[in-house]
Amino acid sequence: MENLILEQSFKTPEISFHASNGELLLKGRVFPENPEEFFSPVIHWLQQYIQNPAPETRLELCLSYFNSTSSEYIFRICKMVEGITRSGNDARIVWQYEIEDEDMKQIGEDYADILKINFELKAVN
Amino acid sequence: MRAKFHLMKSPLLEILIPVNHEISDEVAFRSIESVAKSLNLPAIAGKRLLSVTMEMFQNLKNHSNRSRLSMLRVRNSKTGLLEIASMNYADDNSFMRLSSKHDYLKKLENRRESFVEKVSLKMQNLEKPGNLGLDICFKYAKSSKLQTVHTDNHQLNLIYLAFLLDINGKSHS
Repeated sequence: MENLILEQSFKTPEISFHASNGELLLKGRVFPENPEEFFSPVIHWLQQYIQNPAPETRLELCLSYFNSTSSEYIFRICKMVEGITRSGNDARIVWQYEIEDEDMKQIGEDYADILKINFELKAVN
Repeated sequence: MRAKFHLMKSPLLEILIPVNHEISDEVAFRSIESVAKSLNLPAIAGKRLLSVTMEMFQNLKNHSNRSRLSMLRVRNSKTGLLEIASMNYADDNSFMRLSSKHDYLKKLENRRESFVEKVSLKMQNLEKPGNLGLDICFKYAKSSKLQTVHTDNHQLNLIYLAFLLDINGKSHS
């Protein structure tokens, strides 16, 4: 399976999904003009990946801003990664936020409450 | 038609979305970010200003009546709060939705729990209509105002929706 690599733009995050080692990274701002169009290949890639995931999957989210429409897709991605654990594979999510960004921390805590997966909150300067 | 888009040196931002023209999300984002910087807000307040204003901006852009009149305004109120207000022509359906949501949210004692529940429900059915964006605005605001501005012709009534943000980043508890 090929990796999914998308470069970061002002409104869209860097996406670096590596099928062979299970390292999945989303980094930057997320408010694409057309979220469905942007996330469609990402969701499609994940649908393929979860059929045969790496022994360990690590989804790292380093987001500075996302709008409500995108939050639905971000959460959906998290749910798909959560699903990997149900098939007996190891998966975890790392939610990285700037140390002063209490709201991003709060959203991470909300996600951690909802998702049944090893969920790490990581504050960075 | 050219968009009227003013970014003033005073702490006032006005975004007007006139007929047949849409300001891009990126332009709006950069401008709001610039206003937040010029106000020297604490990081958390600046981020909330950005989040709430962008949600309202995108809400207006997607409104069925955007081609008739939509306006978004950010300004410092005299009470030391930031006011983010939108004004839009009211059609009966959209106003009823806003009105009931407002009443509903006012009664909630635990907004965070409600928000988590709402996100959860939304995830169970992504296609279900709802307005998570407005919920986020309510979540971050210290208080909110919603009113109709009545005219002789009810079809020209306006929805005025404003969120007040604490300049120090404190939200409603």
